[in-house]
Amino acid sequence: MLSDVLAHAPKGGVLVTVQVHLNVIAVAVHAELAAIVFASGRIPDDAVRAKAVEEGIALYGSERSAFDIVGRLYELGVRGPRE
Amino acid sequence: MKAFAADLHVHTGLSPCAAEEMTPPAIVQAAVERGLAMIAICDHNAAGNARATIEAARRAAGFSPGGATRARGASGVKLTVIAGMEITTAEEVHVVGLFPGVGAAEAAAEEVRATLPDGDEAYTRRFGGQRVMDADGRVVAEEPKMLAAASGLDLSAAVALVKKHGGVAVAAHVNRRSFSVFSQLGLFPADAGFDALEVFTPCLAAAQPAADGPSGRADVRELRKLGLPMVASSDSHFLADIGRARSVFEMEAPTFEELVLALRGVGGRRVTHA
Repeated sequence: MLSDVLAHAPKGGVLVTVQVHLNVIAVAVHAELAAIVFASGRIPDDAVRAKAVEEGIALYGSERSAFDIVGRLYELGVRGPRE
Repeated sequence: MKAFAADLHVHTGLSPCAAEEMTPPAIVQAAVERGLAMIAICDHNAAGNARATIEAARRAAGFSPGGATRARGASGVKLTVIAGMEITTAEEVHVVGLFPGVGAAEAAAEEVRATLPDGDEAYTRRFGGQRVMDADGRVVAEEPKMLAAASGLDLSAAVALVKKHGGVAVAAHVNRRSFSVFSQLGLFPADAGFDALEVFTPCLAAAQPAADGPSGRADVRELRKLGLPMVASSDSHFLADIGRARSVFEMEAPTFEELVLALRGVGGRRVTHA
């Protein structure tokens, strides 16, 4: 839920999501995230991608599930803010 | 101008999460007993019981199915039933569509239905039955699609679908923590095209702002800044909840057309929350 991202995401964080609504970019900007990874092959439309370019948010996409992507990031040493 | 109490978000037993007691005649009786002049039937991703509820209301008011007035009706009290639907968008935002007629609601529901996954026995066991009923409350069919699932329509497509069928789009229970525009999308998209906001609270006038910040619940003062009319509705899944939240529409007659004018504030019509 994006309301949870707004409230709790750490600055500079990476959001892994299946949500492709334009508000994902707005919330990422507000929470000062570094990047968004769209999971499960979800691809945002042109308006969303253009907004990300405008706001300087890096977008990535993967066919893998959010679970697998987060697991791999964790393996690579990415940790939450309280660890 | 007259005042009409309305509860524009009531589920029937077609919604898997609603109680079996939510039959068309029982809903009509509860609404009339609680002094409502209008209700809207809004099942999840479906409109299959709207027609039966409209018919149940007609019978309760003393009209025969053909439209001829009987000498004396069961209660003699007229209840207007609006045909609606609560669409779950792909983002899992709930959008209430209220339609000008039952045919429009059914046509819109057919389009939503085409995007829903098929249910199975395990689904029915976990989520509950999905009962299509007649005006007497008899179950005539079980809906096989997963009404509890997200539809394939994203928010803008869902709002566009409602409008295509002549309806008004209401952002459902915006002050709840789940399935609301705020909980799912964080911020309210200004260009979403909503005609009104639905607030889930017994009395808007007395609503207290949420004290816990950006938690998915928007406080009423913040909601007012969106400049959209607000309606209070019960989102009833049980008979006891019908009318527990309501708005008062000051307008000429209890019709869909007048309701739209009241939401827009045309000609002195308005929505109040006494």
